[in-house]
Amino acid sequence: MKPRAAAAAALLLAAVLLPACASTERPEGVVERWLISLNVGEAGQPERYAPDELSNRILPPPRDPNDLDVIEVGKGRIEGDTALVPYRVQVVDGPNLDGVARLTRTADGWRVVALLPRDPTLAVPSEGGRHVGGASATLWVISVVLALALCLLSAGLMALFGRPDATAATGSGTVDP
Amino acid sequence: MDEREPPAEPAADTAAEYAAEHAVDLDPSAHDPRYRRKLLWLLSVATFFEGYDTFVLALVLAPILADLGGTESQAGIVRAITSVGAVLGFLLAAQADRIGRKRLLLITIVGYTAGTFLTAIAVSLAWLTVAQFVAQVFLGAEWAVAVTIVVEEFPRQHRGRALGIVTSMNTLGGISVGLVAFVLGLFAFSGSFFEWRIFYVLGIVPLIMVAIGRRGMHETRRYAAVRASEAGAALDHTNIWEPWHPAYRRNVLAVGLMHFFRFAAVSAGAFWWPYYAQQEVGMSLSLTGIYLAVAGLLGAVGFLVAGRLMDRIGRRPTFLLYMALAGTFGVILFQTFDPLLMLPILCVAIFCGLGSACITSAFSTELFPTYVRSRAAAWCRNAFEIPGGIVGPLIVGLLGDHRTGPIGSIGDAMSVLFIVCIVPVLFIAWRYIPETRGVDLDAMDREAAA
Repeated sequence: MKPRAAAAAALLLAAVLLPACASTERPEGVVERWLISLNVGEAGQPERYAPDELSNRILPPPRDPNDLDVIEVGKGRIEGDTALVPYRVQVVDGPNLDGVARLTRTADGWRVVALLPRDPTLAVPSEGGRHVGGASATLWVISVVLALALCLLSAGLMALFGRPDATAATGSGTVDP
Repeated sequence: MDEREPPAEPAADTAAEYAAEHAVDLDPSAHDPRYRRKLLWLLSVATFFEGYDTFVLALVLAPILADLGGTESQAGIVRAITSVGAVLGFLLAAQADRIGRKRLLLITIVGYTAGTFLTAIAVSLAWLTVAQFVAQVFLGAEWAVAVTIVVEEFPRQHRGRALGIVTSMNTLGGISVGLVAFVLGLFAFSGSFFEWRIFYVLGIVPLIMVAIGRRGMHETRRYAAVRASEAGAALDHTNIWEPWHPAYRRNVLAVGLMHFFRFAAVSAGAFWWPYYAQQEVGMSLSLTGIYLAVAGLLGAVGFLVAGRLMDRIGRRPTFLLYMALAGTFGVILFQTFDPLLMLPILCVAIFCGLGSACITSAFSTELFPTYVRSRAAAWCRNAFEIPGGIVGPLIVGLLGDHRTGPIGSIGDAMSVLFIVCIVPVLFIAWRYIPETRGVDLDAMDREAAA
């Protein structure tokens, strides 16, 4: 394979990867970060995501790492600048807490402002709800294309830098290339 | 002086002639089996603690931050800096062709012990970062020299098996971290000065082992003979670029690329599976731990089975089989949301994904002559595999971040990465990697000296 093909494969990789750098902010991710920060003991900073009053309702201080045995967040619903996100936590040797977190969009992003009771239309995945995010059908096709492009790139690099003859292995006559 | 230390002046033309003149049998089967068992034990200790150290920081990160002060983002920086240390271990690993395998192995073990002890007495996050960086430099060098010693000291019909045992210790070391945490939990260290430090104090165990085992350990016969021969002495034993000599660079590049793609997928899978299980499947922390322990133990068996298969059916067929299964079950694993179904799939994925490391360690050593073997292994491991282990988890984290990632799902991001990385691994292995089962290392050394 010619080096030109390797360059084409590299360009293809860049063309596929660059759009993937685009990002969006999901309220489900904010709820998850909040619950995780409650679960890392004193190192956590739950105040970045929700007021202390709400944090204390989930897990009052003093908090130790891994106090929560289960943290689960499901696909939420966004209505304008408000979002509703289902969650479920299991406190070690404690209660199972579930409900819906209400978030509002601020200048710094989404922030948890209230905890509501369970909503039958919003559930976490283990209770039949939808998963957060996910790859589209196009992305699965792109991943196959990307894999083939990397094969081409590897072949190009081998053609560019690797000589098919005079390897130590073939020279010794002991291995089959 | 060690009976196998090379003489000051090269006396023979080739390693084989030197061996004949000095009655040194280069055939590793001439070794006392007891010596090989002892060697295996010593090398296993080294690789065991490499696995142990890899998982310790992740486990004790929260108490470290609480004790020394620090944020999650600072913790990420600590992790990144220490990972760079593992890459830089390349420069140290490459010295095994210059100063000898035995000497470098001992240096890496002593250096790692010093680094891990300094970590245990850290009084600030900066101190801990520097100490861990030092430990990772030495750990990063340890693997390459350990697999090189195995290849040079074990008879060809047992090389695969020995590689399987030594490399499997890496996984067992990782599992042992959880076991240590469980045992220490019984002694109520929580909240005390030793809460996280005790994990690093245990890092001095390798030094104790070495203190016991070093006296009976010899330089590998093959290395000693090559260094002592006239033709061997004329070869370049110091230049770190020697593996890129036209005679070897094709193999270095092919094995290196294969290492990179394989480890990007496997390390990302190992890193993100607990998170996926807990956050996207809804499994509890304790159930995740049990699954990891079971699958990890089976994963260690994967190394041993791979070692046996390598000796029976060859390196390439074993590797292709392992990687095809690892890729398939890796994709399925991260699309599974049933905890019951998850366990058998996880077991197969870990069995094949981690177990394949023992086969790649054979490719990175058996394709190269003795005078350049350790440097080639260092290139494949430190310059390709370890960066792959940094890039893979990073890409999945960026793509799958629930808050800002373009995919927004760790499971889907992982499955995509498996497809993207494992297909090139299979392609490279099928197209460019030669079979090395039964390779004659003496013939390779003669060819290099000619």
